[in-house]
Amino acid sequence: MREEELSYKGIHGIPVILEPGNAARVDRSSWRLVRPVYNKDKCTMCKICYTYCPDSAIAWTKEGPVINLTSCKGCMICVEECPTNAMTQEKESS
Amino acid sequence: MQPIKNIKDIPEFDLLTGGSSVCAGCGPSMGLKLALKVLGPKTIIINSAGCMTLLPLFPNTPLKVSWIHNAIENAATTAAGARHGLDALGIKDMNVVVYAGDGATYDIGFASLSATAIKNERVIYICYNNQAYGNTGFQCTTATPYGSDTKTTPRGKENPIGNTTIHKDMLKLMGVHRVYCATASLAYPVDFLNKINKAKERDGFSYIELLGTCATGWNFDPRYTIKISRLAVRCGMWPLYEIDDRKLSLNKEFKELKPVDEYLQLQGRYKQLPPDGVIKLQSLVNEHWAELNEFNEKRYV
Amino acid sequence: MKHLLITGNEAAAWGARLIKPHFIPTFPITPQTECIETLARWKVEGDLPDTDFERMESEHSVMSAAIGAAAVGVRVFTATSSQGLMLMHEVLYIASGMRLPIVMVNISRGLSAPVTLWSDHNDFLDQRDSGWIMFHAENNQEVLDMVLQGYRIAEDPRVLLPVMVNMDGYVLSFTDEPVIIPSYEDVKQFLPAYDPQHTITSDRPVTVGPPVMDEYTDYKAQMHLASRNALTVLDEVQNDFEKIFGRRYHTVDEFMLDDAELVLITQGSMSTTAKAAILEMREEGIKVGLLRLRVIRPWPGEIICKALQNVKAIAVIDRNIAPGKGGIMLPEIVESLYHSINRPLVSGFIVGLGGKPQTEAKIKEITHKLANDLASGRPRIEWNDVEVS
Repeated sequence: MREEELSYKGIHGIPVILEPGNAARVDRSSWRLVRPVYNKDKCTMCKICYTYCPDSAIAWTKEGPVINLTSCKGCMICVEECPTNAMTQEKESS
Repeated sequence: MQPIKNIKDIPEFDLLTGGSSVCAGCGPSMGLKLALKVLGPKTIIINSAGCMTLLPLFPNTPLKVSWIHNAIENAATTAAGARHGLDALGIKDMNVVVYAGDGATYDIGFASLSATAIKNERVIYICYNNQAYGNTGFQCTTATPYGSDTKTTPRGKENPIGNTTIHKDMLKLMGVHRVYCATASLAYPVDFLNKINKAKERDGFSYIELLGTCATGWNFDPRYTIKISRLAVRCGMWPLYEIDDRKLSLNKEFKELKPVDEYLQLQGRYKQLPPDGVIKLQSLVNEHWAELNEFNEKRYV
Repeated sequence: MKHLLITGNEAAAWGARLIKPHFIPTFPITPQTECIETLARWKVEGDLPDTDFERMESEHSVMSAAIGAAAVGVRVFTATSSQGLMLMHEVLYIASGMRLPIVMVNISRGLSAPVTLWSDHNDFLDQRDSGWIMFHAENNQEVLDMVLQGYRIAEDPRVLLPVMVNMDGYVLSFTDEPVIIPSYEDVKQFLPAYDPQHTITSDRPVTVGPPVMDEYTDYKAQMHLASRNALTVLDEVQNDFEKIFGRRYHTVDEFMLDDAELVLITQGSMSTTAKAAILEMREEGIKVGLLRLRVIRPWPGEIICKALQNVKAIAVIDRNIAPGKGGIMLPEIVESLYHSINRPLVSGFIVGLGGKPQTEAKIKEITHKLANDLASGRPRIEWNDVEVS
């Protein structure tokens, strides 16, 4: 591109991110070899899985943890730390 | 904010979303997520170059709070500048928080950290200590423990130990700045968050050092991030204590420490450490633990 | 408005005092120290009520703190020199890359090793690719005026780049000159409130300084355009400045160029000496003029070419040295002239390193050498002041 064809974009030409938390929509599911599976019957609502998820892929609701498989990278900390085996792991199919 | 009593009390909002490009099971990322629960939305995180610099990657950011990444050696003074800027605008209700790695803290950024601390700037400095330059692929810092294999202290015929330098006693160094300092562990989130809370309430500088358990660099299955964090505390490799107004308080006391072996065996970085290296490392841990117990609830620095 | 007899350091401090920056991070270094000492004294005497004056532990931290404060949208001023500027070098690129309109005065001093306290322009010119807008003042009045104009230009939404105002150490920094001090009211009228849209506020979370992938070139292109825009803004600002203060500055300072055949190209304080020498040479019938480089970045190449369109020979007088290459400004001038219709003979003179005084006699000698070069058709590279040959 010729220099004279470049246009000045004002604030849109400044390297800042003005949309907080927009990485939530980034899909990291392809990083996963295994996925966590939640079994409500075994859950004691202790919040350990929620607390220890490094990617905020587990939300906490009145009904307990809700796993967001877009953000989950499959680290399995939740499975390892769950004191009642309410979180188990399953192999990803592909 | 009232002190948190147990995990169930931990606030149920997240100011760090998923979708970032840090490793699966990243301890430092978990640490920031947890800290933000206490810090709240009115927070500016000042980051030094390191693993956490990759949390935002244009055009996406997992941060729901403000973030400034400047360079590697100047997070503390960038934070001081942000604090002065906010003061000039009359904004008092924002937290200015450094989130920096151990290389940036112990090594290249020590001058800016020390100056900011001694002037008691209203900044919370959290060092996520993964005991090496993690983002460049795990090279030795002055926070790297004795006996750790790193890319710049590899084990070999000439030196089977790996890193032979005894790491800096950073808490003691920060303690002499007469600021609030504490160690923290991901396996003790209530203790960690109460320390953040204590720092937040201070009208001055605080230094909190979180063991930044790092599956990639320490070479273990990321599922063990919390298990290893817990073992580090239990075996005395990462004792939990604080120094407030130069007085020491042990936050987790044990009648007897576990031997370091189990902790070491779970991690690739220590796998080939020869027995005399383990003995030396154990003696260093014992010596530090004895010192902490000797000065517990006493003037320490 | 009042008239004071003050040093360049004090003129810089007065510029800061008049615009009332929110934050001044500081670190002492010869020959800049008087500037921050002056500000410290004013602060304690109550003359800077709205300004936070802070001591940092290094120049690197001065610029780091400046960035931290500017990122939350406040006005920042600082000053440095020489080794201090070099220590800041890394973060200068970050300040401009983040598009933070910080204004800094640099007091030029030669770089170590060997140690010198005296002035040359290597420290300043070493920052020429840093993305900062760079002005080089000739006298103490210009130092003050360019600090005021600096904020106006830096904060313009078409620019949003930091500004560096340079003066020569000792010759200006420690020399009293009469300076007109504008009134606070006039300065307030000249400089509107700063309302940035790309910085952090308490209810606008912004991620400042994220890594990028493919967009890197785009952002550098934007910085380049912003810097080019500064030429337009600089020109516009002069109208307001003249209306309020009765003075104006041209992007390129032209002195007796109209009918000049020989032209000296200079920077900074030696231009005053050269102008005096030119007046005397004119009396002798030598058609010599001067072009002073006031604006180093953005580079006003077209304006320079236009000013030089009828001249026969040029002496680029570099008070700097890029070892292994030569004077720094010589190739910049030659590059600009290469595409012009008139391509005069260009000789390069390396002078005044480590503060060697540039007297009128030396300027005349350069002019005579240039006249000889023109007559012989052979340009030269000449080292002045070399004592061991």
